[in-house]
Amino acid sequence: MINSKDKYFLGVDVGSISTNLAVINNSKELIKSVYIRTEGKPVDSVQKGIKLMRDQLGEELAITGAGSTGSARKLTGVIIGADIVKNEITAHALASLHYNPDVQTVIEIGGQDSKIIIIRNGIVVDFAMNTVCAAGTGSFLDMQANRLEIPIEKFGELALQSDNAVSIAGRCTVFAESDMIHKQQLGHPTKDIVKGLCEALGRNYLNNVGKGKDIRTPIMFQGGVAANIGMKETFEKYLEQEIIIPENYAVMGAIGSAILAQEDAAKRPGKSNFQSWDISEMDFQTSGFECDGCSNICEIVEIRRDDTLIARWGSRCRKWDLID
Amino acid sequence: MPLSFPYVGTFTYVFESIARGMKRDDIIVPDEPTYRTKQLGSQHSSEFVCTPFKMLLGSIIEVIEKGAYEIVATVFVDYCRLGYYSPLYRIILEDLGYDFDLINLDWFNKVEFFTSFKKLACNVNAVQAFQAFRVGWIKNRYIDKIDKTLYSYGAVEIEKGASYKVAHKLYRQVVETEGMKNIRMLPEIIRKTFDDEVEIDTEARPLKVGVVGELYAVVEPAINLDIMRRLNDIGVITETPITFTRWIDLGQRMNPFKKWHYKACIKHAKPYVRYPLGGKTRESLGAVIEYKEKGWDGVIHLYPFTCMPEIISRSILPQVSREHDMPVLSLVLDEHTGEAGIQTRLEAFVDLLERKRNDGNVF
Repeated sequence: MINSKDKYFLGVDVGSISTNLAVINNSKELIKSVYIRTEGKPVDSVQKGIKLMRDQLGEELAITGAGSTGSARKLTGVIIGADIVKNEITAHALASLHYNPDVQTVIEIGGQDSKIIIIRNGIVVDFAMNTVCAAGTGSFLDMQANRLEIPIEKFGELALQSDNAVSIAGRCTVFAESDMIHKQQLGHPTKDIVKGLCEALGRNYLNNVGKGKDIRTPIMFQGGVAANIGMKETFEKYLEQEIIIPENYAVMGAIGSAILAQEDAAKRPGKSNFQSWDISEMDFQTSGFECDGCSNICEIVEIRRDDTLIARWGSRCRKWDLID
Repeated sequence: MPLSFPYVGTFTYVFESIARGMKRDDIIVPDEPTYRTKQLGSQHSSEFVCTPFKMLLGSIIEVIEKGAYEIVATVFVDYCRLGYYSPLYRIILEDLGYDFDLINLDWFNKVEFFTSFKKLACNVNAVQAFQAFRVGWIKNRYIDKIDKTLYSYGAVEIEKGASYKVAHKLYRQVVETEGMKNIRMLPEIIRKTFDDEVEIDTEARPLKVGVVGELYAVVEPAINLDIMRRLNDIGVITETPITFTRWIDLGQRMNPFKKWHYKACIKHAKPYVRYPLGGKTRESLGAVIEYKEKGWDGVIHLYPFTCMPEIISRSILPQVSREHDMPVLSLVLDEHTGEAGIQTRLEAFVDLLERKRNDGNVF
């Protein structure tokens, strides 16, 4: 698949739970992807991800453009030397459109965010994200799977085995958890509780994030939670529509970011800012301090590469800002 | 007795002007709300009260700590909980053991209004007091003008941050200008200063986005995480129709030919909501149609978490947006300082608008 004449683009999506990398070629085909856990250390996980990607590719592929997205996109952008740093909504929409140009609705549930993207004629016309609460997102499912001692990968399968979902409040994770414990203590089998939880989260998603949105087919479901077959079934039940899960559902953000890097490369005359594949061997240090210039007490973050200061941000008045 | 008031966006400058005009030289100017203000406010408020309440309470405590005794409480005539907040402030502050006098300017209670007003204007006679108020509302127009110019120049400035520097200089100038003749020169000075001191990119084709929603959420950068500036930074011209002009500008209010933006909005909202539901429900809904007719690209709707009137608008907005083909982004604001969420939504919204304008061709 790797051809020395082709051009390659790298996309990195660093979210709250997972870090994904994707390399695509000029015709937007996915060459290789990496999916690892962020574990609260975005810098380390980017380094680790880059190393894994390099090992998988087996060679130091020349990168024509690099993009970053996800909640740590700014930080990631500085570390890998991204040419384009874009939000994850745009990235996800682009990736979905690449997989199915007719897609009209994208459901994306990640670690801390859940979003709905409404697309008409290949253009994003509306989107929404969860508002003030992370109920129903991946991190909650993860936590509950941990508590019930079920590997998260088996969560969906277990839900499918049940045909009698217990009712669980999905409005708030605190309520949901106490409902689950209550049902557990009453003696309901775990599979019924798990199915009940999937249904509660699905309902909450449709009422909160999907409120007032015109959901039309084809509907694509992606993000880490799409691995949970129980959630897919829940959406199919409530929406009474078929739900498509793209093959690379977990790395769609990274693919979108790579597509953005490709679009950007076409417009940009110069070379890519992409550091090099040696990122994993470089020494990145992040340090922080509190500015005491006023009572805002902003937390300033500094990022150093091999002892050179490469970026600094976090001040509300911008006096400390240093980017590029 | 030292006089002060809570900080409310750029309206603070108007307040300062009025107090100065009434020859109160004992005013304590509030500081911009900071993280500490939020903390103070939420520490002493009940949990589910709206964020503006908490922020204003925090600001009041801060000015009391700075030595203020007389405090002008904000009065909102918009039929929402905020209208009842001033008695609650009194109770909370008394419980905290502060020594203060809360001056409540409640327009609906005319007797109380004038007695309070007299307390404020203790150093001047009635004519002078009225004159000070008049200067205040005229200066308010110019403060609005600076805001408006700032939010459009900010989007196309070449040196980032230049217009903000100019604006801050001008706000002070407006407050400090005295004498009607000099004050009347201000609009020209504002225009010229921006023209001379901010270099703009004349080639740019910026998007235009209106910002509507709950009053405090729209006018106070500390709660909306400086949304106007964020939009400017990604090259978007913005404005808000929500200013204090409609209440304090008696000059314009008495002009029967004045076209009020909010009245037009309320008319537009008629098919959706026929009667007042409090706050800016009708205005927020109608503004979507008004901005569409003006040829703007989108509308951002801001509301504080647990704001009752705006929750109603939030539920009807998708329908208005769909029926008038006008993109709307609703954002809930609370105490959070995590800016990533807001930034992501704004950037995605702007991407959407750009794609919409270019029919999906260019990014």
